[in-house]
Amino acid sequence: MSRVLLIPSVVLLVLAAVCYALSGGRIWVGTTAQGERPVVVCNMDDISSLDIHRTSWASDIRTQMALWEGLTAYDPQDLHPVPGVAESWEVTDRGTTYTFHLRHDAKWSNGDPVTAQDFLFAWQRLITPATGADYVDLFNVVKGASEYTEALAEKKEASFSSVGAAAPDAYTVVVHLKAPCSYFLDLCAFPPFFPLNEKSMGDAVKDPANGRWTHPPRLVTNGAYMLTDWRFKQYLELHPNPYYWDRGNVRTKVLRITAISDHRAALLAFDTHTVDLLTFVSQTFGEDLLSQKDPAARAMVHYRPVFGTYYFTFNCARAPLDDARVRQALSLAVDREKIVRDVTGMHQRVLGVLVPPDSVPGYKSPDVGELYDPAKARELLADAGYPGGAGMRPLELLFNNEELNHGKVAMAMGQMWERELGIHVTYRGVERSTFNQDRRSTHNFDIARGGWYGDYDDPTTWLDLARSDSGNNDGQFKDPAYDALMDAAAREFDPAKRFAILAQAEKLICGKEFPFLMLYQYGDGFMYDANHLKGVSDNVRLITPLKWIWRDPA
Amino acid sequence: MIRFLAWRLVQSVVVMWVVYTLTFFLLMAAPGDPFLGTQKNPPAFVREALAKNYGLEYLKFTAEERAKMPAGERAGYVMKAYWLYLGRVVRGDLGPSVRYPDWSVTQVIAHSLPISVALGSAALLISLWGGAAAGTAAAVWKNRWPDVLLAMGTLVGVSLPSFVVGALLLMALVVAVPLLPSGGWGSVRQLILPAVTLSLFYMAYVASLARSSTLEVLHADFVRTARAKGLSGRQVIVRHVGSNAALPLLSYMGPAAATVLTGSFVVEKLFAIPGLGTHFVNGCLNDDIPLVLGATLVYTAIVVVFNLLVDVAYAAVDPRITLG
Repeated sequence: MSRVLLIPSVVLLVLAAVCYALSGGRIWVGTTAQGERPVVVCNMDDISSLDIHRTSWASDIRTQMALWEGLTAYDPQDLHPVPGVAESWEVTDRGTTYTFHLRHDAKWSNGDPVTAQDFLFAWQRLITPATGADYVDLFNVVKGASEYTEALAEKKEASFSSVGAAAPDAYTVVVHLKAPCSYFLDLCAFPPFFPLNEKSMGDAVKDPANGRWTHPPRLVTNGAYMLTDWRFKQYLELHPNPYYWDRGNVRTKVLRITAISDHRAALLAFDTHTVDLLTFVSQTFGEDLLSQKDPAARAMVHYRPVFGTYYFTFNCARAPLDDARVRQALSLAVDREKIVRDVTGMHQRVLGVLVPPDSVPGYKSPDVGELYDPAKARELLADAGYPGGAGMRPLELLFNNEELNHGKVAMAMGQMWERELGIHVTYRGVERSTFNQDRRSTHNFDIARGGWYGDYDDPTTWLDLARSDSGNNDGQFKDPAYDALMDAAAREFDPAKRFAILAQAEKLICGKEFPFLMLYQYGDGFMYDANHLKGVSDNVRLITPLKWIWRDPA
Repeated sequence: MIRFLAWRLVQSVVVMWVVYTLTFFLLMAAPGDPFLGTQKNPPAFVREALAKNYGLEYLKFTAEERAKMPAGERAGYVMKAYWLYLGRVVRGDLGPSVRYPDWSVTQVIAHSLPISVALGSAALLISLWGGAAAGTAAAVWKNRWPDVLLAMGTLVGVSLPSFVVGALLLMALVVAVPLLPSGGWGSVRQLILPAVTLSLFYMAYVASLARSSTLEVLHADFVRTARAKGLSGRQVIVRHVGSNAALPLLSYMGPAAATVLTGSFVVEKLFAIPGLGTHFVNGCLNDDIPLVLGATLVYTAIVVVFNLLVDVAYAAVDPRITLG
């Protein structure tokens, strides 16, 4: 046996050794040269892209916030906008003109000063159609921006000087908005609004298909950290940016960002202290994590309601769901408390509104009445012509099945409808591609799972979903009264009055028209040991500026 | 020999072209939309720009628009993309990845394949030697305790899926007795658990193959002759029985190697290993068309190469087989 097997064995051995070395594997891994163990942040998803205009994944955005800095930055605790590259600003013309004064000591990681031109360059790239930016429409609050983008998309001539963003000198940025925007300073702290170092991008400036400019050592950034190593799907290594103006507040010497998609593996890595900060609370093991007996272990699960809502979307273009009474009846027949207690087991906060309550400062959610009222639901259904469910065709619930909970919630709702309303329900669990296509593109569904995380600090990030002209109106809900309210809010200069109009609009969809069956506010959070890892912020938006985190060796 | 190799090379290229073409058209026909974005539906001009960057202009249309498109027009778009992609492959360019726009598919594979190959070779080595030793022992002591033990072990090895074995090993050697790290890549200690997990199935198979072929050879005339001329039991087994009994193992190892070396989705996910195996599944889930095409091409190439290697190895060990 030995002789014949010798050749393949030698081949395999050589193959293993060579490939192991190629993949960056080492015989022995000790601490780094300085004896410093990196602070390890572990996400569920791999970093998709570091290009600030090419991504909308939460883990990418968190990393970009560590590498770059915008005109403003988030306060590490309550996330209100604080000075970033801009050390001060004035708001004039009834809230439509922002004049930012850039600090002179703001530097790129190659030592170059950060100038107003760096912002204009990046913003022009953001709104140029060829870039294919995920968040291109966030810039539409700026005067002339959407017109510029549309002109270029139609292959017409357009000059960036027609857009309301200018640099009177190297350290001043002036932005003219279409209308007052109470969350504009918040947007300035968000990656799509960050500056870019044009020089270091080279030929990627002209070629949007060239994504290689984000790799170290080529990537030049202006934030607390700089990228020193990026091993694909293994880790990113960040070191403090030696030229960063606020480097005194950056206490971590080596920050390592990694990803583990398997929940069990991620929790094991956390338990064995190879990970300092886990940026998600596993839904698969959520119930077990939240009911741990050991108080110290339980305290490491920083779980809370977050900046997103979970719902099902009615296809309002299909009978019988085109009747608001039917939609309301279905909504009233769902016992949400039972779902978060017995089905998800995660005790999420149940709700009947689209904007997560108390998450946008100053915005007060409307009162939409009782959420669970089966008797009223039966009455409404009878009014609509389906007493006891008679005459109603079977309704189909569509959900994506890569996460177990979606199907469980759908089936729990279906059972409630069959029991309370006497209607027949069918289920269609499909993989993500088919689900996205059927829900978002062909609208081939009766009732589909949905959910929305807020992109910026304003109710419109959710309420725009129900506008009849919205590209994300999956349920094809159309109500001129709602559109009129949303338009009125956009024209309103007074922030308090504007919020009042938006609350009125929200009441219209969540208390009367029911394009969505609202279930609960998403619950999520981080896992970390607060005795050792300091500076982590447990806010509703799940943003924790990595600049501020450090490990206390004590 | 050279004529044989040249002919097989031509065949290999044809096989790879057929697989690539089939995969391409299947991906075009499958539901899914690579440019739909994570949460938001992008405006039409963004879809158009992305589709252009990726050379997939067919997909600038939404699924709804594509369904309404006349068949001729659709075929035109698909064929245009096909020729573009095929031309790129011939030039050795697999294009950029959709899910990882900062990386080209070539880079993605260059980073992931060595990991899967290193892990797979280690697993194969374990299964080859472990399986051969166990199988031979079982055959020599047929119907005695090593044989019974092997029968049980084989049954367990073949029937327990790797996610169960892996989870059990994790519980035993990471949680209960913290000897080894839970996962990741970069140190030899991190390699042990996944390699053992991956090897068990193949080891069981190799062991049963080795057992039956050893039994067959043990009764052959030349073994009796070897014993008759006075060789010791060990010498007979190692020199005469082993060499001949190993042939079936080789033919099994070829195709098995192709599967093992390109990565196991389950083991890579369980132990957080950044190998190629995850791309086959996640690439499809993420509608990452260029990545799926690239990964399939690499997989095909490896299968083809290993089959060829086995043929050559056969000729090398068995003088009765000639190539050509």
